[in-house]
Amino acid sequence: MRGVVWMKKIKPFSQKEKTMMWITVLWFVFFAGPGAVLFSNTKFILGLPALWTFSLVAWFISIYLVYWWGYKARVTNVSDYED
Amino acid sequence: MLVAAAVYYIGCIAAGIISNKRGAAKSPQDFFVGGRGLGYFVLGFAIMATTLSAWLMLGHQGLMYASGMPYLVYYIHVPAMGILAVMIFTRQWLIGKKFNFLSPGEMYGTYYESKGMRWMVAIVAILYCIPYSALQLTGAGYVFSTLTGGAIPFMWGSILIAGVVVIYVILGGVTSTAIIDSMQGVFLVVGLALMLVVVLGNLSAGDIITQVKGFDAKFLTMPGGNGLWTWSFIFTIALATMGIYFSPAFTIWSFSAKSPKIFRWQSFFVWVLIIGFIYYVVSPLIGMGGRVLFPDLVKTDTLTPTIMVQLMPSWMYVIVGIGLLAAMNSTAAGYLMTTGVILGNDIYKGELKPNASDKETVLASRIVVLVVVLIAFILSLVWKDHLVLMGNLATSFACQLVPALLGMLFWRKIATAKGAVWGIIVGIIVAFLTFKVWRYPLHIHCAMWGLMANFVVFFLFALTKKLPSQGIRDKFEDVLERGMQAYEKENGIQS
Repeated sequence: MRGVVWMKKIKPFSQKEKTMMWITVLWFVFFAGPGAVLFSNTKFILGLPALWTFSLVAWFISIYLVYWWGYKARVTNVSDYED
Repeated sequence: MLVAAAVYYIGCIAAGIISNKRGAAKSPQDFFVGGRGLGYFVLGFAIMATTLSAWLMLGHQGLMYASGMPYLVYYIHVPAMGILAVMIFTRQWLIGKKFNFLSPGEMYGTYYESKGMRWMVAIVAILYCIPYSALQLTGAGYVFSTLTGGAIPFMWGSILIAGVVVIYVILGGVTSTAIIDSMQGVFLVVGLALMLVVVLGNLSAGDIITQVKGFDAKFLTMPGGNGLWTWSFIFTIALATMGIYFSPAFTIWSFSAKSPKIFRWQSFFVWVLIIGFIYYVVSPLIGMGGRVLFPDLVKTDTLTPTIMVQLMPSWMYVIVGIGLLAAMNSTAAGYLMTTGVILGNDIYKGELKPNASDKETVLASRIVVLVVVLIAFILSLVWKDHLVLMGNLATSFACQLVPALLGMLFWRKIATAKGAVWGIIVGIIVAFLTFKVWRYPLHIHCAMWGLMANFVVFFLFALTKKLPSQGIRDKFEDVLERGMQAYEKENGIQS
């Protein structure tokens, strides 16, 4: 409870989490539409249509992002405790 | 196919009976939140199955066929939902456990100290769950009729499926819904894998990509073969789709978990890796392969039935057919269960009869499930032509809880009850107008218009500073802080 000495307040987001939040937001904004305009052409990159390669890159980056937010971040993790 | 479907449906009913015998409906805690004991596999795949529905096997493949590569950009919502899940599900789990919430309305109503919020959650649940359930019943009736070669007519197919879903939901509550949903999730994944196998059996991946090179440029560039996928539309519909995770059904799943660690496992392994692979690799191959094999499909959402009928051996046809039916069942069951929980616990016990006993509350929820499925079934017959419209709108309505939930979990210094309630009302109205009256203005999806209007109202009311009482805000803050500290201590993390 508030005022109890042994319970310190945790900052909602650490500096690293803030950085990762910005990276996540930028990842989404870039890959969710505006960035796709740059790859909206009939070229093939690494043997696949440009937009497919673009989307696969988005997915690969997201695998790390989801892992990080799920397993490395503190703000997204809680545990049960004794009342 | 008839025999396989019969075996499948008997299995669903048996699962409901077994769950009931094992006490899955003994108390409101068991019936509404599965005793807060759902494990990794069951909850992990149940969340997936509730989210995806048969759309992933039918409409989605058809859209890939019709749109081409630009449709892939929209898939960003899949991993983004994985990130969102770990942010909002774990906190809801802890809040649900520590305050002993059994339903989303209870959670919102308690935090915002507002009866209006309870009612709004119920209204959102009704506007979302009933039309979406009706869509599943319609689709299931149609699929059942097609797969059995007309032996079971459409209406009887819908009745049968509705009946089976009602039985196992009423018998076993959230537990049986989750168990059967998780099995159905596996069927869904297997079904899609088999579709890919059969497409690649006729055309290698290399051949598909070679043929794609010769496609009309509209299938390689935005806005796609059907002219829909401008960047603004993709951006806004991706955001709107993510809003589904804020809907009441997923709050109930959050409350039902045995451990909060299930959500990060689910997000990473089930959602981003398995479902991500299906979206980013399997779907384009099926969609583009389908375009090569069947270039003249007039109704593009018949791609899946066409592949099944023309390319699959009988045994595969049966498994994929069961996968299709399973996908529809799982979504309908999840949403029917949600409506039962909310109207039973939040409205009947919470508002109408606070002194209702546990037995009475569970009975009320069961009656609600029955009534809702009847309404959904009638809608599926009477409003068949309008169901797709309603399905689109349903998604728009589902995401209107975004500001209210974010306010409670993260923005407690600005979240007001009136902002939450009026935001939802305005959001629903604007979403409706930007679908029905002015369709997707500026190529922005109606759900996004609704959400933007919702946020404006939410932030305007923040200026009044009429927050929930300090006491309730402190309680929620303390629970979340202690939960985060407990995690740090458990994992030896220095803050």
